Amino acid sequence: MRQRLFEQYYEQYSDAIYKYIFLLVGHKETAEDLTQETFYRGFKHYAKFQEQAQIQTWLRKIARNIVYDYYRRKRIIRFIPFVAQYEPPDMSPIPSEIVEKGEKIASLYKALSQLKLEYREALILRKMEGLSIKETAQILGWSEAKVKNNTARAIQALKKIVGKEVMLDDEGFRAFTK
Amino acid sequence: MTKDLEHSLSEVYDVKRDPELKRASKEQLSKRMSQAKKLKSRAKWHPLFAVITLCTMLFFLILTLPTGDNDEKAIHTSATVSVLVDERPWIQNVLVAETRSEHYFAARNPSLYIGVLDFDWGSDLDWPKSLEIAMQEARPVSRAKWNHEQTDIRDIKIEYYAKNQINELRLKVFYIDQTNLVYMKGMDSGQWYEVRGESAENLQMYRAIRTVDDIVPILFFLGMGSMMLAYLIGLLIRDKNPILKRTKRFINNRHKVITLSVRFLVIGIVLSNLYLLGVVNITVAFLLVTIMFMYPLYMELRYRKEMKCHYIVITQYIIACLYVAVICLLI
Repeated sequence: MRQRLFEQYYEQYSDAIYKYIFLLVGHKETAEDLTQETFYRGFKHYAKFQEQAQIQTWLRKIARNIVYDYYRRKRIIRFIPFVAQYEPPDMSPIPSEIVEKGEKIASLYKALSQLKLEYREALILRKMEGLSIKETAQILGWSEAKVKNNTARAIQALKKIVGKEVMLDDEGFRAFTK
Repeated sequence: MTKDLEHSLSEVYDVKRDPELKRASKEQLSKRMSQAKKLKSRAKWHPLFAVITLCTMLFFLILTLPTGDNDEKAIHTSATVSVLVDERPWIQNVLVAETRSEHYFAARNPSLYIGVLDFDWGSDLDWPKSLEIAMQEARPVSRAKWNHEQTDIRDIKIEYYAKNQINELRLKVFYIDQTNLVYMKGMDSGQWYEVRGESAENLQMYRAIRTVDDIVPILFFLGMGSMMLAYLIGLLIRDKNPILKRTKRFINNRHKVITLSVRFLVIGIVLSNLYLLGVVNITVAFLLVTIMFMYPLYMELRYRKEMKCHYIVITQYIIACLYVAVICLLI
């Protein structure tokens, strides 16, 4: 019964969750794995879901925790000398899905990935997914004021990075800084 | 922010997902879900709690059982004061407790009750002598007249040796303020006695024993010390687990209300026991401490185990048990 329910949820919400994770980790296979893990954890801990929020919000929260765990693990691995030696340097290449969209979008993605995680999250949820301030605050566990501040600062930071790109390339991004 | 940037951001967001990967992922998820055993995270704790509670209760029950030593003594409870007087016995041991109750006899086994003084008079024979004289001169009366405000009550249990065996006599002694009048009540026979004059005056030395007055400062200062210790260990645990610093003390209002109510209730029970009866049963004290920490522990493990707040609750529980144990050893 619960399994069927989660298979339905997967059909309904996995795309949005995948996009959210993808924009945070920047790797499609990892994003796919983490999306699967999100739904699995949701399935395992469904008893704890008290319907205080929508299921989608709850799943997003789980996804966020999983992404944080992923980054934490990555950070720990770097401290292990042997593993660090053979770990490829984190060059964060632009995914092919983004490259296909053209140079302008690729540069914007690159600028986005240079933002700190908190700003990226605020931008993804508020400006890309179009969630309300309240919903964003619920997912991120912030106050509404913090959501507003971080979104504004994220936009400023993004503009700044994009502006630098314009100085370097002098093509494509002039419109953003106007 | 220009509309252009907003539009470009939405284009970035519009990532196409590989349908093959999605399908494979869904299949794997279904497999994992069907393999996952029935969730027992909630039920897991119930038997564990039941076992812990049962073990604790059994432990204290065993503790309260009479020991073989007592059986060997073959204590014989005598009915009246006259037995003690007639047989010219040899007083072996005296237990004294301060109380306010007319009916409850507080001078019980000192190893099981906090607040009972196992009286050792050493070489000072005035203590047993004064009791003997008072009992010799005690005059039976039908009913004593006294009121709580002007009366001090001491429970005295006398173990004496007579007819080749150890007997015991349980007396409740009522000291009437500003008079040389003392009433005694044999707890086994229910008979009242009246003692007046010099022998009543000699008996006043037992009135000077104030067990409750001695206990309360020890309870208070040792309690403060334990709370300080729990706080310091809590700081160490918080330092090792930073998540605790960001976690609220209570999960919700109900958790707060019940936890604090149980705490105040337990403190109230202990203090009122001490004030009215004069003694606190050690088993009850341990059980109350267990009850006090069971609910917070259950809530922490049930709702936010990952926050590790149960470390703090377990530490507090251990310190509270140690506190009771130290009190038992000291008093």
